[in-house]
Amino acid sequence: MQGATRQGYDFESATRRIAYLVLVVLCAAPFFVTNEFYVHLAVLICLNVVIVGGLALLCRTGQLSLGHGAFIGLGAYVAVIATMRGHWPFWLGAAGGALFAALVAAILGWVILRLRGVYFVLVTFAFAELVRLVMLSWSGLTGGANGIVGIPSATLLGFAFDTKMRFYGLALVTAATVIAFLYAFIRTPTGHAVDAVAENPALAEASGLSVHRIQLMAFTIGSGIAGLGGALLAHYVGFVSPESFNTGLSIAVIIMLVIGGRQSVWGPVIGPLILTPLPELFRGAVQTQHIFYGAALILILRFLPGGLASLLMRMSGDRASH
Amino acid sequence: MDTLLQVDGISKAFGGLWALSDLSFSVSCGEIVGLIGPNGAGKTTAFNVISGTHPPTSGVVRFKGIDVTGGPPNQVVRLGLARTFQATSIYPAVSVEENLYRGAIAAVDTGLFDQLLNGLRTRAAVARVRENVESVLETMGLVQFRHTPAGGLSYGYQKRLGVAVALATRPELLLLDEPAAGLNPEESAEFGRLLRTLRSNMNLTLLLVEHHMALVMDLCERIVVLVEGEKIAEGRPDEVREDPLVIEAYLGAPE
Repeated sequence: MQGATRQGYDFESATRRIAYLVLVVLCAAPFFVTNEFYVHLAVLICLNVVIVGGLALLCRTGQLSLGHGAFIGLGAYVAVIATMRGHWPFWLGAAGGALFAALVAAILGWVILRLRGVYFVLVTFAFAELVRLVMLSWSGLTGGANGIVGIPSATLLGFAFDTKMRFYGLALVTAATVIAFLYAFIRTPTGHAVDAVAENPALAEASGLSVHRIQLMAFTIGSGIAGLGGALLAHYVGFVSPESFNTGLSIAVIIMLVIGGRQSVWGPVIGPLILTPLPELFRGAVQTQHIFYGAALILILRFLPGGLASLLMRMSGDRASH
Repeated sequence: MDTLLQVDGISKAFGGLWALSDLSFSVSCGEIVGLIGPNGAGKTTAFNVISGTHPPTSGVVRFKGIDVTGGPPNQVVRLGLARTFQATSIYPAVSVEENLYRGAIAAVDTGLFDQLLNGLRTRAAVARVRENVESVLETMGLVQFRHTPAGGLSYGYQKRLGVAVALATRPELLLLDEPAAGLNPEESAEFGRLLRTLRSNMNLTLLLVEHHMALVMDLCERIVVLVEGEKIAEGRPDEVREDPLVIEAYLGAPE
């Protein structure tokens, strides 16, 4: 039985049941929720699941990127420019945005993935600033600081996702696909290799696994997923500007991942599920919101390094998997 | 006997410090060779150069006649030259079985797409890996710890698991960096017997760095002595033991 060999990272049945419950609620929600605002939140949650899922893949190899926002932005801008200027269909533009983000990540990663830990984080941060400045300065193509407005809504095979409810369907399917991909991926031999690289890179390398190749693959696929999330986000919101993809976004993604749980497939679901609606509770006190995030991050890292996903696992009594 | 490993004039400088200077020796198929020397003699550096972890400043390493100088290590392992590390040679957070699975998994060479779909070729490759894992579990006497988290094993068994992970890569030559460090004399003697069994059962050639003299003298057929990065002696254990240069290096010169 394959599950037996993955102690420490695997989820037992009770937690899986919780995840199924969440899925059922998400699917059923539109039939009960009539308030547009809640549908809007649900769309954002789904898009965040896609984006955080992309970072989770890289994080699983033991590296962390502070430039995830840049790849979301690259995907968004390429998709928007392709559909608005090149008159590409929506799906082709979104695919192009994802592929472009993946290509840039592959080139960047090939050079900088020899760096480890904080050095890698710093270079991705610098790269993200570079991308933002290019978006800002290349105003002929990107509209500069004004951004691009009036982005058409997504259409697929003649069907327009032009209401919040309709777009929710697209976002939910995409999010579920990304999570299903992660779930299947970590169970492949390459998925095991990814965990090996994260836990002991020297030993993984000495066992014939190329640390560089595996991290590069995760960075490329993860950034491509971020690009796809960005493309969807742009078509949903109808507006992009360089400030939409600043360091704040990269940090928000990291916070969602860490609080959700870095070592579990369900972390990228739980993090956005809790943190996306949260700012609405802090409407009256925007400043305190960031204090709360900081405190939550420190507390989680100190007391619950596996994130809320590991707490759920513990609550459901799955001690055996530890 | 065929030469399996040929180390030809390797030197390694860290800044101005020469950790190795002009080291040459060879290992033949089926031999057990010991690399000994006082602390700081450059033994681990020699291992790092041979396994491709560090490129040498000069010199050539040939394995099965192929130039493997400077690695990368993951390619050198695929040729059949595996190594263990002094300290962390395991994945402590996961089970013993998963440790071996990770050690053997480089043999699965199907594309990610085929793996995601669990295609026929992937299934066949994974089945071979599982078989390999089972045989290593059995040979190394780790079957009863299959589901134990590796970090929860006793120190002696962690050392043994470290060797097992390297064996899971199906090597022809195994480099062991202080396999008996921290073991008591009894455990160390048992380890020696185990290594001999491995050699005959798995057609293995062994090169080991070890401070445990009783084990080295008993186990090795040939010994290379390093002092301050240079080879000062090479030969059978009884020859090396009588060598005045070796005695001087270990005990100091007579007044």
